[in-house]
Amino acid sequence: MTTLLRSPESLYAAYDRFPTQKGASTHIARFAPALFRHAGGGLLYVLGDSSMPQRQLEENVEIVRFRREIPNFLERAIAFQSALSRIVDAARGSLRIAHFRDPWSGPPLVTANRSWAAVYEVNALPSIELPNAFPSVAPRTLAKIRAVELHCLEACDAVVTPSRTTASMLERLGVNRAKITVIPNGADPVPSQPRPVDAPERYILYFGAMQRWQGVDTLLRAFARLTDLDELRLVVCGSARSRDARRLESLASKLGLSDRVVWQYELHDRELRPWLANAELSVAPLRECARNVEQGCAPLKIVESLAAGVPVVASNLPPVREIVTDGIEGRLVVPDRPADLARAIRVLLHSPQRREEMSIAARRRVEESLTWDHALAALTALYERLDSLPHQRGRIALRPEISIEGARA
Amino acid sequence: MKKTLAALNALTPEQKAVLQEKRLEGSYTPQAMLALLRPVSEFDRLSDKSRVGIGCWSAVFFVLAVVCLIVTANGVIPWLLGAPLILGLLGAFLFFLVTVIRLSKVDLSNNFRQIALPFVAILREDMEKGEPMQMKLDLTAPTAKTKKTGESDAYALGVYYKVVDHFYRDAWFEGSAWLADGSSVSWAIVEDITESMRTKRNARGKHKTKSKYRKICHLAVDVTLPHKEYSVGAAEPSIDAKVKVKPAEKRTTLRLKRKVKIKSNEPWDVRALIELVAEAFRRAKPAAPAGGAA
Amino acid sequence: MMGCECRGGFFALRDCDQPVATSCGTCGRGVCSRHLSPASGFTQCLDCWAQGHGDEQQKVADDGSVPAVDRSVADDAAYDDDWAYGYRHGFYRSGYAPIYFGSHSSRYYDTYDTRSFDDDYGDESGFSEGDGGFGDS
Ligand SMILES: [Zn+2]
Ligand SMILES: [Zn+2]
Repeated sequence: MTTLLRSPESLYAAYDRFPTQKGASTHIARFAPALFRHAGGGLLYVLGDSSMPQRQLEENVEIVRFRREIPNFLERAIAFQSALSRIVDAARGSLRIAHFRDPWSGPPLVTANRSWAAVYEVNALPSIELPNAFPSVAPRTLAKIRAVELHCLEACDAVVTPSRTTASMLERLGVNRAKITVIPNGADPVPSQPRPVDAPERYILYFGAMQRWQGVDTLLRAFARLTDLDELRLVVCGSARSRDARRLESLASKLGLSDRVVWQYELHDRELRPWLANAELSVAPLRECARNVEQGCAPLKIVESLAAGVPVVASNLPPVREIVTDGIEGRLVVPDRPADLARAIRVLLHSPQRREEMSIAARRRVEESLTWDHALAALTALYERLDSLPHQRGRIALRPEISIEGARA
Repeated sequence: MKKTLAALNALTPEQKAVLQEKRLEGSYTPQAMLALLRPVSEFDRLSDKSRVGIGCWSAVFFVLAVVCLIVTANGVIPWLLGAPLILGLLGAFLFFLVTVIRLSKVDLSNNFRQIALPFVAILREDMEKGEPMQMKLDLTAPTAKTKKTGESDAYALGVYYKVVDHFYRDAWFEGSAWLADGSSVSWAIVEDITESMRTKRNARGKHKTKSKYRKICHLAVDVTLPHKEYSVGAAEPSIDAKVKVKPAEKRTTLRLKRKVKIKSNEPWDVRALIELVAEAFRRAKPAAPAGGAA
Repeated sequence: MMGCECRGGFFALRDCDQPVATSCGTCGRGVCSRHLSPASGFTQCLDCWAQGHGDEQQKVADDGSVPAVDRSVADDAAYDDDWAYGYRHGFYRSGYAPIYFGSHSSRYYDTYDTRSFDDDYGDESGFSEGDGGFGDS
């Protein structure tokens, strides 16, 4: 029923709006082209809004956007999936490899008698993430979503994840270790940037989204202890002036920081880069919560800071330790402790020489192993391995105690 | 006018009967109901529009006939020419007059086109195909003699030296339907109309009377929700309505009432009625699945 | 083969599931003959047609009051399916969220599941904007 503009050799599916200024979008913009290059063409299926074309053909890549606006998150995900099923039906003849990012895209791509390899890229599991966004999600609903995640993990041919922390969580869920490839997020080295005209003399930077688990409130409390440093400012570049952001703004004014914190929203990448490159420090005050500790996360902002040669002060959590070594590219501090965070920032601010050393180490760290080229080479190598194993789809690698009953309904 | 008369002639005997009787009572599927009434409504719409025009034309012919008569009587044109012209103009005048009277006799209350039809068309979406709904429609004029409930004593009001209020009660629409989800909806509309006849003397000393209308429309809706599908919860009220909840063993009935006040004799917005039904469904939550939440 | 993916109903929604006649030229859903919009020349489903044209029909007063005569029902409205879906679109836009039975193509998630997503927490949840990913920049 769905007719495609061309027969896709590969398919990249993500329940994310694309393109946007968010991390997920950056990831898709890097990974999807690598897939299409490898396969000689393909189809990108993502979310869109009415300002984006529903269909787009660029050389050998067709982009199809799911644009129906359904207010209910789950209903929209279900409708998104059923539209994907029809695309998969239409692409059945030509499809050789499929890459998906979530359990909403997964089921149609991991069907039993498929003729393509399926890669599941796990950045986070909705069964863990969703309660942050929707506190009233019923446990039985989360259990169902978890069952679908397990089904996708079991039936796919390979799992890709950006952090070892996430990989070990997946192992705990019963995924065969051999099936998992850790491909850290990348960042491209940022050359030195002109100082933004309206930038304060001296500032530390937070950039990114502002959900509670990001721990920006800890940073604000820490910053309140640094008010003796007269000329120091905190610049916060948020991805959107959301409810969370407004909550933090009012916290800042309660802490008496109104004229010391500069809030900016929705900066484009090229606008953000000068702010990042000229910061004294970049702070990633991630909270010590189940989401960050057990599931793991891939704080792209840390890698991007290193790539700009900016030392990072971050929470000492397993996924962060994969990127930053304490005392080398920055400092790792105990999470959720404003006093500790403030002390680490103060010490580094007092020592230009240490910052300089860290800056050099940071750039080196990225150039040696964290550029996008590294990530894409690892991804392409994985695709090539899958090409050579065409007849071993969906090997079962679940541990017996884990039930996936109902996952195939 | 041609179109209007053509629309009238194209009606089936059943549809013409609706126009004559202006009452409808019984069990209809919404499909049959809409099929029966859409052409009637279309005729009514055309008729409302063209009656004004036809009225104007009849007046024009009458004036022309009078002018002709005067001109001929004064000998400007000979009687031999004038007489047939006058007769012709009078004939045209009479024809148009009769048409207007004929059309106004079959005029339906606008409530029909602007409230009853859209409401049936919306309710139909929630009904199983082919399922009938019960309804009783009275489309005679809201201020028909039979609907009069009384009148006030004459009183004075500002420049009007004589005002008499006439009161009418028009219970023109009620009905009930089973919906596809097993719930039922019943509704009843009663309008209390006040026609205020106001007489004043104008600058030239002539007595002029005009009618002003105001009405209070009572909308009542019962929605019964089966427990098999729904549980009834609380909801922030979104409209100004009285809601009573009556739980029973297998179903809960929500009784909703609201008033719409209007300072004319025009129909209210059907949305007022749709919102009232919606207000009941806003309280409906899905029944917990069998076995409860795992 | 799946049935029509449109949803019938006004106060409560339910899956149509009638045999599919064709697919909608705009949203690509499989659509039965009843859910194809005659006004669109049978190229769109009633929902997509309503989305494109429903706003012209519906007049919602700014102050929320009930206007004496709604243009959407006054003149030459035919009160057919196109009209009803246009009205439905406008009515939902003005704030009514219908209860929904069944989830298309998924008998797996039921109403109880979808309902628990109704209290949308925030705009930067990383999810509400449809950003299913790790909303970390
Ligand atoms: Zn459509
Ligand atoms: Zn249908």
